[in-house]
Amino acid sequence: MRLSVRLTRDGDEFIAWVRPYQADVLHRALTVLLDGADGGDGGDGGGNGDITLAIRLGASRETVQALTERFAVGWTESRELRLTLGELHLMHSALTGAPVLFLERGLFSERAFHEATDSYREHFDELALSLVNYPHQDGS
Amino acid sequence: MTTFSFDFDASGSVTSFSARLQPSEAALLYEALIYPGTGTEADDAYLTLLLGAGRDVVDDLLARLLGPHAGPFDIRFRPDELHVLLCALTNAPTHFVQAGGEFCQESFHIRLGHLRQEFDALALTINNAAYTAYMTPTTHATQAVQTVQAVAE
Repeated sequence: MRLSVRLTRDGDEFIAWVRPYQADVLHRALTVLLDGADGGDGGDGGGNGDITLAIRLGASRETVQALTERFAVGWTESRELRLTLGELHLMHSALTGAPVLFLERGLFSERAFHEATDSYREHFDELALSLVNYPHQDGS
Repeated sequence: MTTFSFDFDASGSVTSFSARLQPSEAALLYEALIYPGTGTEADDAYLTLLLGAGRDVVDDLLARLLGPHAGPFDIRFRPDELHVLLCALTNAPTHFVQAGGEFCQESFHIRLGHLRQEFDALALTINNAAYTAYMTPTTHATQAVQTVQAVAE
């Protein structure tokens, strides 16, 4: 399935087989949440931007930026990535957290989300779910 | 609708958030938070993957949210606890996505007792608290500088 990441566990780490479109979706999810935490001026602003990211993603700006870089443009074929539990959590919370920023009058706006991400919430949902189903996919 | 206020330490950093929760909001948060731990694979690593924290933090939050609450009540959260609550709210619905990406509203409603849009709305409230905390200290610092100047003059 196009939106399902194949994951295996290797000790404390995870090995993920990531396709270009999946990398693109992950990049957009992380970018949307990073952009929303810099006050729109591109800087790190009023000193509590770190708190914003700690609440939204549970990680520091450096960690989020480093992971975002790994999914930046230039993917032409699938790659095998080695990820820590913390990085996998960061990917999961970005995928599930990003759509919530696109509520209009209390309801999710498919259009606003699509304009910002060029993707669909159902793709984010599916990808997020595949990241946490590793016990069932072990050895398959 | 819940709002969060912030407490600052002397340096202007946000240290904790206080919220006045309606009993229905506490019940919703409780359902969202207890959901990931009910599966057979719910060890500490699995909870950390989904929520960003292990069993200790989750159980502590559950105990504080647990009712019955006769009316609105005040509760205080650290930033990392707000992250866990936010993850709980956004995680649960994704487990009701079927092959092909379609969200099954009915199964979710029966299992969690609420609709996805209610989970979304509360998650946005936490996001807004995060964003407001980010914007607030600038004003704080400016006011502090102005006060200092006024005293100097």
